[in-house]
Amino acid sequence: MAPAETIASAESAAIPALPEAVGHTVAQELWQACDGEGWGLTRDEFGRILLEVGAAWNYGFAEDATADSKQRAAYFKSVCLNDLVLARACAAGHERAWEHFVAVYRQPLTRAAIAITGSETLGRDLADQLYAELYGLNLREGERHCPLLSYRGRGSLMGWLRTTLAQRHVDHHRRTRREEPLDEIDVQAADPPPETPAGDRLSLELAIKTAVGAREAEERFLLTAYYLDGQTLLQIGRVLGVHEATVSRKLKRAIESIRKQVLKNLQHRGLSRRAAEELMGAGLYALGGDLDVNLKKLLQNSQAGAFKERAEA
Amino acid sequence: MSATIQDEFHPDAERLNAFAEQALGRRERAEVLAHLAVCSRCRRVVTLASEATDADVTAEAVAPGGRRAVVRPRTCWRSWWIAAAPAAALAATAVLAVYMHVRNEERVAEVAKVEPPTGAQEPSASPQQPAEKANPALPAKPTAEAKNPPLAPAPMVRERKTTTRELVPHGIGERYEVETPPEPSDTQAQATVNPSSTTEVAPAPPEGMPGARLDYVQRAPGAAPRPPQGVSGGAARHGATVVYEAAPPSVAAQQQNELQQQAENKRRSMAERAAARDGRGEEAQASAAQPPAAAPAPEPTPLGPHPESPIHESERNASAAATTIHLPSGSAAVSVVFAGRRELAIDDAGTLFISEDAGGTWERVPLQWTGRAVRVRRRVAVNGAFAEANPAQSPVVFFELLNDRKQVWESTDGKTWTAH
Repeated sequence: MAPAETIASAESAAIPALPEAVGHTVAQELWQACDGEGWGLTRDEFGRILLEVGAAWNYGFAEDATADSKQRAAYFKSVCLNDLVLARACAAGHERAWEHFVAVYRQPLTRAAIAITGSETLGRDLADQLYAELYGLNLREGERHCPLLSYRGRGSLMGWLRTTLAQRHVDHHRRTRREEPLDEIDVQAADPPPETPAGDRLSLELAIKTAVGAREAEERFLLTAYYLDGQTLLQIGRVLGVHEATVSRKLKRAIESIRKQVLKNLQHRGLSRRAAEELMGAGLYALGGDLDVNLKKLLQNSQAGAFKERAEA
Repeated sequence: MSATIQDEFHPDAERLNAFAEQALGRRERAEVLAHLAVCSRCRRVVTLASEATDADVTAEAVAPGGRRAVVRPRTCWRSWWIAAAPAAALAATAVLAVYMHVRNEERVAEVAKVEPPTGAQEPSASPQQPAEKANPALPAKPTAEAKNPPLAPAPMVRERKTTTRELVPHGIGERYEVETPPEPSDTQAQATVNPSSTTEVAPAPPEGMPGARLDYVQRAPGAAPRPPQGVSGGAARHGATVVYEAAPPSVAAQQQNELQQQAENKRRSMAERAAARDGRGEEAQASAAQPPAAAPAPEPTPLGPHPESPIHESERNASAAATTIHLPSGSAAVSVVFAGRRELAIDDAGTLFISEDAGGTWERVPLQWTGRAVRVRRRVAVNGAFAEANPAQSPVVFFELLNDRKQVWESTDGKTWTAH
């Protein structure tokens, strides 16, 4: 395979050299930490790649912030240099890099695809398709495009490959699901919602939206992953990198907070506490969207605490 | 909130993967979480990717931080590092065991250094001899010779064939032997030591020797580990066989008090006695029933007699010199002592000989004692008392003769002896 492009892209020519950005010592350390020389990478090319990667992420800072040399050095040290260099070498068509990539990543790639699809056939197809793309068989505007160029070393290369596989599988599934015939969708009819006045429904919907929207992003993710996606505590814990017991505690705390906030919001809208609690217990079916049933369950689970709290009051 | 409302722009695989691998900063992580809270597609992607990671973990080891452990040919080599820690621990244990073994030998040598009733208990470590303490193979300084108190009649020496230098404790009441093999040049009058034999433990003290004591017997021949300072001539060329005999505990305990009382005085007198001693290492003592061996001696090893053992360096070398002494009786010398050019020697028949020309010619000393003389030694006194009583006074060298009943006779010239 002939290299379709240089390892360091042409746009990096405007980027200053790595030693100027992080200092000679750090630049030397970074160069020694990677296997760039083994993949035919020069020190200048390595510096340009690093600076390009750092600029793409703004070194982990907000877009309007500017990283100093120490922050840049810290960012570069957090990058998976070996994986980044290998990916760029493969994207550049380095034969030995590809041999190494195939030896190391081909089988795990297939295993990951099988695990994601839940089917060996589909998994192998998915893996082969991605592998072909990685090898640069796809052309974009007449040029070979390698997805490995989008890898910037924030995580491991294998993790990036898994995530890419998962993205392609989900996108494929979402596309094909829309094409399923209606008779194959077996949806149980929901219980008829109780009659709720339109004003109360609106008040409750707004109160819930306000309460949930005020929560932190992690709590919102917990709520949606647990109640909407039906993920287990273990699955959520893996994604967040915490123990499932921690997920359980956070969920419980989030539910209590939302319930209290919804009550407050309803009371702010002129409802008495008793009326607000009755509305929360009975009128949630009227909420549209995916949240209604789950939020009913969520809030129903908190009823005992609410009653206890009311008794104490 | 509606989960159906999703951001048009999803985080790319790089960012989602970094989120799953906890590689994002707090700000970026919050951004991704905020997107995940409203994007079922990305939640699904992250969940599937994490499940694939778990599935892959079961099939292949994943390095910490999500980095996959790259399988390389040196994996086998790396596995040796896993064994490095226990191997290092094993080596450390072995070194410790050897160290404890050597220490044990040193302690045994120090125990054997304790003299019978008249002997002083020597300090375990003399500040003047740190190097010798550290290296048991080094000879004791000549000052150590004066540490020997007057001895009761020496124990009977048993014939024994030992060549090893190892000092092995066998229990109280048994003997510990350390023999330094003879030197190759020492071929005269040495014919009975079997070089191939090993340390031998006598089952019981010999007749005539009170068992309730710690005593030693230095026998010729044997290679002295190293000539002491000031010792020259044949004394340093020859080895000696040293036999440590441990006494039963009860009698040893009785002697211990006496020895402790004398130990302090002995230490004070060491420096003066060293000054009083001439350069040769005046005192020598060798007691052995075994005739000098003719076997060649290998190099001395650190397992030799302890430098601070009651066998002073001068005695060792003197006893080594006994292997080359040709007494008029034709018998082997079992105890030899120097004082200047004057030398006294006792053969294995108990006959005392004196030489005024450093062993050139020997003259028999008439019998003036009872029993069989087994040991002769040099003592230092000041105005009739021992040097430690008044170190400022000039010391007087005299000799002591011990018979097989531990009776002592004294002489200033080696020819005229009076009972102690």
